[in-house]
Amino acid sequence: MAEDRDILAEITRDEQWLAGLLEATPGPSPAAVDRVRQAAAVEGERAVMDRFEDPAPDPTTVERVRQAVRSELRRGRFPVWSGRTRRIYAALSAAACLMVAVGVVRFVVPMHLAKRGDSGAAGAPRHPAVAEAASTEQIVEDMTVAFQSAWERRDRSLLILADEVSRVSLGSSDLEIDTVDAELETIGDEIRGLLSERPQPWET
Amino acid sequence: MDQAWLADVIERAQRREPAAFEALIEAYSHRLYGFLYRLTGHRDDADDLLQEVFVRVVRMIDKYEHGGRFEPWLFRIAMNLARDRVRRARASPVRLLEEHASSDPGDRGGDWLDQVGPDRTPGPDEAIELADQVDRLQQALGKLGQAEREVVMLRHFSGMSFNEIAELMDTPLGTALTRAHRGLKRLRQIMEGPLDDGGRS
Repeated sequence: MAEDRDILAEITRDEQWLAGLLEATPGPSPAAVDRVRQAAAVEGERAVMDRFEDPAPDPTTVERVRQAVRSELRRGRFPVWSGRTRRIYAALSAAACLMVAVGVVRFVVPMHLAKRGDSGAAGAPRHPAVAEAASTEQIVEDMTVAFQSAWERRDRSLLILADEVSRVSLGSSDLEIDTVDAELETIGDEIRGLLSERPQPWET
Repeated sequence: MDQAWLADVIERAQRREPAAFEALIEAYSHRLYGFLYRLTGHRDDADDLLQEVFVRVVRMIDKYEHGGRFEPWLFRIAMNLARDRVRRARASPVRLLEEHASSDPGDRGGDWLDQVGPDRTPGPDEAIELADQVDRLQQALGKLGQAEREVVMLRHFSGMSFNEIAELMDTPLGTALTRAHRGLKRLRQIMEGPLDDGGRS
């Protein structure tokens, strides 16, 4: 017993001595802590997505979104996306990309269709200047705000779609271009349905 | 650590609130980093492992049942990751060569003196002395057995009791105490003995 007490006393004394030396232990750099924060945030998003075992949107909808976004990006219809806007797009969180897709459907495509209607010819230009960079960026910003709101509500429909959209739209593809406008209109209706339960930032 | 605060943060983390994870990172990254650095001896490893610890925390927080024992849980994750890293490093001849060549403070991360201690900005003389001391301490720690080093570092950085450490390491309390006693004694002998640093003195 006395021996145990002696050992404990020695340990305590030596620990105090060591504590002085260990004060000089380096800490993480601010950049390292930032990387930890980012890694934890990414993992958090992934963990949330993993919780959703029953995808709400039916596979057809997901496939239509996938094909439409893929085709749109391949067609190069939005040349501004190849510059600064595309970098912004790539930096968005995965799910925010869905909102960009929604923006494409709700804002840009109607403009595109209207322009085609004005031309009145089947051979209308395929690459009309449908949006200024500033307005596209505004859409991105609005959509990001909308996404954050959906995220806070844990809107699983949007999040699952977002995951699909971002995976496809940020990757490469070899899909054939076909019936994109009709597809986009259909998808627009379906996504609008998903969003129609509450006002979105761009509607207020 | 305020236990009520910690319980609240953990509950929020289990609800996947990003701010809760930020709070845990803020609260623990410095201690965890020190622990990982002292076990691995490399800033790069400590950087990587710190990140990996929190990724695991995010993944596993659902399974954690809080009973005021978050730190043993957290440091167990860190210790296991550090063990794996050290084991792999030992199996890597390149890494061993790097370790032998690491007398340059730059090898410890270049800016490491900027990060010394929580609120300290050492002057030039003190910085040199500190650098030497850090290096010697790291070398001395390297001469301890792995279990001894782990017990001593867990005590310092996690603030856990010997009972908790014994449980974490799956050993009897007496073994944990003996390892601490022996490890600390050896450290003292090395640190207070003549310099043995390959002629750097």
